[in-house]
Amino acid sequence: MATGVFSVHAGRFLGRIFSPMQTIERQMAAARKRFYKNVSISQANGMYEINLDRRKLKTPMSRLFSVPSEPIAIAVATEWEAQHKEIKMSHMHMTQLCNTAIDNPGRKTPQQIVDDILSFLDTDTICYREESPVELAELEEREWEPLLDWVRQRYDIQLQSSTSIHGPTIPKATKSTLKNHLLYYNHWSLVGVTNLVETLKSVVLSLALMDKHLTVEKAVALARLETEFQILKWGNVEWAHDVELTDLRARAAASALFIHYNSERVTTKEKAPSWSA
Amino acid sequence: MLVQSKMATSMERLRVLRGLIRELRHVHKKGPVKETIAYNYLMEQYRKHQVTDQRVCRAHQELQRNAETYLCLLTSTRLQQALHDEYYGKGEKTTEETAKMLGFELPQNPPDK
Repeated sequence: MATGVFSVHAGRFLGRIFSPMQTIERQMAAARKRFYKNVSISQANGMYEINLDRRKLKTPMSRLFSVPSEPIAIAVATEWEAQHKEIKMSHMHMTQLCNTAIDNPGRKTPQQIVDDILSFLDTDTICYREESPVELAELEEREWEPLLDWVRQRYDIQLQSSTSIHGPTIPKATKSTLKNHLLYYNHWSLVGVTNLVETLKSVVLSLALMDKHLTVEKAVALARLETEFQILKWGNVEWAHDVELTDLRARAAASALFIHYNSERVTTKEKAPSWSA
Repeated sequence: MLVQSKMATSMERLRVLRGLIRELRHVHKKGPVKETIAYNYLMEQYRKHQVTDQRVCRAHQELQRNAETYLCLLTSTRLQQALHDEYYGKGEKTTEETAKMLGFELPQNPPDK
């Protein structure tokens, strides 16, 4: 039997490069059945690749799926191991983050990515306050103000919250300080930051999570503060609230790990890992 | 006090490790969890970062933090999947199910005389 390299299109059913209509159509297409028995990882030139049986995993744009971090490769391999009958790409967050990093479908430079991230600051959840009901306003003050204090101190910036419908005015100096900070991150990490900010709808919460000031559960709880307030008042609806909660937690956890492992300095050389095929 | 905090950390570490192994069992239903790639990596990391009596190293704290985050990822993904299957994966409801959802029962047809 020939052992050529077959292309396996990971993420074909829910790639982020498609238009919304195309994405919906692909979501509704028949899910792909699990076609492989074994998942393994192999190393090449200091990078890690995923093998599904004898085939090498590829990205939606048909590039070789190759990641620089061992823990991330293992997390991706675990996602593929976890698919039982059908391959549910929409629940494979690590795989999708890697795909986006490798393919860079938006063809963005780091500068552009950072600018996109910081534009979220204009509508940062933490800075957008309610005035009524009073209970909610007080809850937001209690839970969110400490985060603002933290980010101001940590980054030496000015940042105010606002109850106006236009949201807060972000000083230019604040944006430029945060921009300089974010530009220290490499492209892969920035993909993770983008995803995290989009998930939490907040730059402040994302920075706090990245700096390990918050756990994922706490960051998501703070992002959902108003929702949780409504749940306390009116009750929990499992098929909406819990779906949203698990979705946010999964995405935020994946992004946090992705950022962490892409931005740490590797100083030790490891001997051959125990799982190597 | 230092001993107490070290002990709390040990219990925490065990709790997270047990949680991770439980999640990995779900991942690899057909065989022993030791066959998963992640299991071997995790055990290697935990062994490498054993807490010594004298100090709690930063790498250990980092491992704990990452382990907790990964546990959150695995658990949330599994629950996300389960909720999706439960509420969105079953296709259209039958007439009986729809009626039941609204608190009604379908009318029984009277038997032919």
